Amino acid sequence: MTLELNPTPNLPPVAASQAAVLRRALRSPLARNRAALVGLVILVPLLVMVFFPALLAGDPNVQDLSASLQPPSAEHILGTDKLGRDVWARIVYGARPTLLGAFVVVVISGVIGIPLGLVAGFYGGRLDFAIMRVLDALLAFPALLLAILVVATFGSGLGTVVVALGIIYVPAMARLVRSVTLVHSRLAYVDAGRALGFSDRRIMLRHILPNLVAAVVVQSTIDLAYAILDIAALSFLGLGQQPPDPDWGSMLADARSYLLQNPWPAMSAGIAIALAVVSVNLVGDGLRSQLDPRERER
Amino acid sequence: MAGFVLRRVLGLIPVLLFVSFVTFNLVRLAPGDPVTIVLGGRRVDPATAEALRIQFGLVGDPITQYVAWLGRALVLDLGESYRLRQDVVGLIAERLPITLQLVVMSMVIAVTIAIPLGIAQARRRDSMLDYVGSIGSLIGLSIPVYFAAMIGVLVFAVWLRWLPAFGSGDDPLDRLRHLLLPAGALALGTIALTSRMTRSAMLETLSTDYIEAARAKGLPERTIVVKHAFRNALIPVLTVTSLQVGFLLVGAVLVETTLGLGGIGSLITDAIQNRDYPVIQASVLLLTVAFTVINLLTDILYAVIDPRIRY
Amino acid sequence: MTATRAGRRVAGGRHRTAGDALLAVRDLEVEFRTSAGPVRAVNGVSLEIAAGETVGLVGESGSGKSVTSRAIMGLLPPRTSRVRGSILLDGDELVGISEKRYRKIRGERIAMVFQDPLTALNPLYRAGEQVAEALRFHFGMGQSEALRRARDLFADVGLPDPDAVVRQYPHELSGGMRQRVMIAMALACEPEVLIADEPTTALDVTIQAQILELLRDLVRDRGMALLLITHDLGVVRELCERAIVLYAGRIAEQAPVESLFVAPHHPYTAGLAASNPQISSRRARLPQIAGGPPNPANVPPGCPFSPRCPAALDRCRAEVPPLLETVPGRLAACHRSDELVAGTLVLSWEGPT
Repeated sequence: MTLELNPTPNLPPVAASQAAVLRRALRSPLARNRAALVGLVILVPLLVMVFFPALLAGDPNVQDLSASLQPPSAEHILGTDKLGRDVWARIVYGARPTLLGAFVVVVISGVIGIPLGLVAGFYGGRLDFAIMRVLDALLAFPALLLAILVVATFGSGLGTVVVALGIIYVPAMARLVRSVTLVHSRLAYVDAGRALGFSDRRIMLRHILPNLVAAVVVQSTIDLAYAILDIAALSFLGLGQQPPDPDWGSMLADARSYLLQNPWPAMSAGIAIALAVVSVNLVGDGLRSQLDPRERER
Repeated sequence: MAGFVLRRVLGLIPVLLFVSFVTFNLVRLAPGDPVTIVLGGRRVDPATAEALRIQFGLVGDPITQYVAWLGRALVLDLGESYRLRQDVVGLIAERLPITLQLVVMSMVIAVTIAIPLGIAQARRRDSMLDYVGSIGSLIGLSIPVYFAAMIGVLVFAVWLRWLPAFGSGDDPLDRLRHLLLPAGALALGTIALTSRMTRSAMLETLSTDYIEAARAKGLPERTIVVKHAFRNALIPVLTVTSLQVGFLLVGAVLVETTLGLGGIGSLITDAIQNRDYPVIQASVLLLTVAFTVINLLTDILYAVIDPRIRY
Repeated sequence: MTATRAGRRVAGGRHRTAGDALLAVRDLEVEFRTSAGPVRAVNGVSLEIAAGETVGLVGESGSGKSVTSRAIMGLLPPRTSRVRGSILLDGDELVGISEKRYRKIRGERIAMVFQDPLTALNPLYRAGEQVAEALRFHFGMGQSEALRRARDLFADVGLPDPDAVVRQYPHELSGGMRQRVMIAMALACEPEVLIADEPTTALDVTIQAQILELLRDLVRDRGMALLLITHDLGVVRELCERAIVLYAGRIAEQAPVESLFVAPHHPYTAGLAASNPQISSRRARLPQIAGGPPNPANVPPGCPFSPRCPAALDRCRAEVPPLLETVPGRLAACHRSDELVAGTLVLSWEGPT
């Protein structure tokens, strides 16, 4: 036991700790988790739409030209589009390409980005330099513009969009993994592992990788929110899901032409996208406050 | 300072080379005959196809072709739109002013709203204003720009009848009126991110020792907040705002499409619909170069603000 | 008490006689509002400093010494803190005055030197400007006049090549130079009271001695009152005439420095002295006080030091000891201080583990 005569921190220590107590009470965990809870509450029906659309609505592709551009009614709770298709059914079935697509984008960026970042951060030197230069150069493109070019080159369609975005999202993920790996490679346990004769592979996979989980999860939720917006934007431009299959982005593009006659289809699709992004952001904020040690201290 | 700027400008060259190399060569990676992509599926006689192959550097080894293409690109020859039978650079130059006006206007709107908002949120942390601002920024980040533009049309053009719904206006004043709605819609995301960043950066600087020292000097609150806290907070804010330019450029493409403004965005969208590859290629290249140059200018701006950067 | 003397500031100058308190703090209480209810960080602290005098405020982190200094400066966050009691500056009450009036006092009549000059100087402004802005605001000087004055102040605090320093940014200066700039900044408006919060803690040992030397000269030459806040007993012995030992927001002991560490009248002071290599007479293994200071939100009943005190009785754990005069000129808050004065109580500290 030692007498703690540390130099005082710069703020008045008591004031600082009290202010921190106050802030913690107001922001988290309760307040923050409440926000995350709201996010989850929105997310659940969206997930049902993705995996079990048939539970919520009928066929989204049934046309009824005699009932074109109907306002909401008991039969069509969100009305109908120009071809007389049920807007609610198209919203429900449109969830899958956007949300599942965004999820796959994040998975692709992780599958490529995590190993790249891990290797770059662990070995450093020329390998690191080479990997990071290429990734940084990729960041010189505004993401969606590069996606437009790639999709225009390789052909429209949800598959191309997802793969293109997945690759475009690699630099952000790889950079993050690299920076966390850099910190951990300098810690003593890595040297200890080397001293025990562990292979680099084993050290990376068994010792460093688990430490990346929190950072990767947080980055993934951020990417997921952006991926939803990007997929929807590319569909809106006509590069994603092709007609007649329902998709939120293309629904908006379609509904734009009759926005003034019947705003319901456009509003429905736009709000669906916004709600999905809000819920991912809320859940992400909640996860961040739980997982990020820096955030937790705040 | 001059040395710093020079280093930065020179550092730009490899990035621009990479960007243009990728843009130029991407079409070679596509399955099938690249010229069919350039043609967008249109049928032409073999002689024309051969001419296009040469024009787009699709014959011979990629490096030589790239160097030749780069030489032409430097004198602003980026080929011809096969569909419109027009010089691509000319097409872009015609459309550029509207897009620039749109982006600049929305940047101005975003900064004048977001920065005071973020400062006020940080100064009155956990107040009602802070709370409402945080929710607002969450929504701003989550709404697709084209959807925001549609809501804008419904509210401000149809319902309130304050602003014109579509088109880009004729004389400068009319142009301004027409751009207000799209620029406002485009600004939402930037307002959200910039106000968030300003808030957190201000919270950080307001709790530093030099702010307490400035208070201990008895300086007025305004001086403390603006001169001491905000100028320090400006550095991280600037990073985010400059990256926002990329989002704004992309957002401009979407908003122009939604509201029928005749800028580069509509040019790209039309090109996508008509499979006019040369136009897409050149527009993407040009916007990316613009984005890179803006980031460079931001870097230089840092050095002006922060003396520690100019070593 | 001399705190209510009529010597208010008049245009012709300051009427002061030696021994009068320039700064008189009476029964200072500082409370912070927290979600867990109010927390009292400073509880009934009184102190006086005369012109030309240096008083040390000693304590561990969390003892309330920094909060006391921020309360005197009026720098505590108004939304989450409440200050009660009285702070008289040359007869003028500071508790409860408006922020606008406080602003005129801060920097002009009471100034502060901070612990870490690197973080306490704004990185974006030249050293000269950071001194000049206080002069512009308080005295309405023009920029060039204020910068000339800054240059003179830099010369006064012993900065080599003051003309160059005026134009330099904080990151271009060494630690010792930065602290001299900080001191020049505090001196700019010729304050009556200077508060130095751990002014040497962030500095190298050799620089520490130079800064202490400078502070001593400044107090002597300018007749300022210096309140030195520190955890370092060596610094207190070097610079102060009187020391006030704080523990858990209360004064544990107050005494002239020459007698304080030789014959402490409070077990906490005794423990501090015994564990300090510069003061302790023991040379081999320095004893340590077991445990740490209490959490201000949860101070034990009775004497706050009782859980760590080797001489604590049941009474100490039940009843807060009042601050009483032990011998003329000395105060202590301990139920057993009579025994310490008489030398009949021997404290045994656990050795280091």
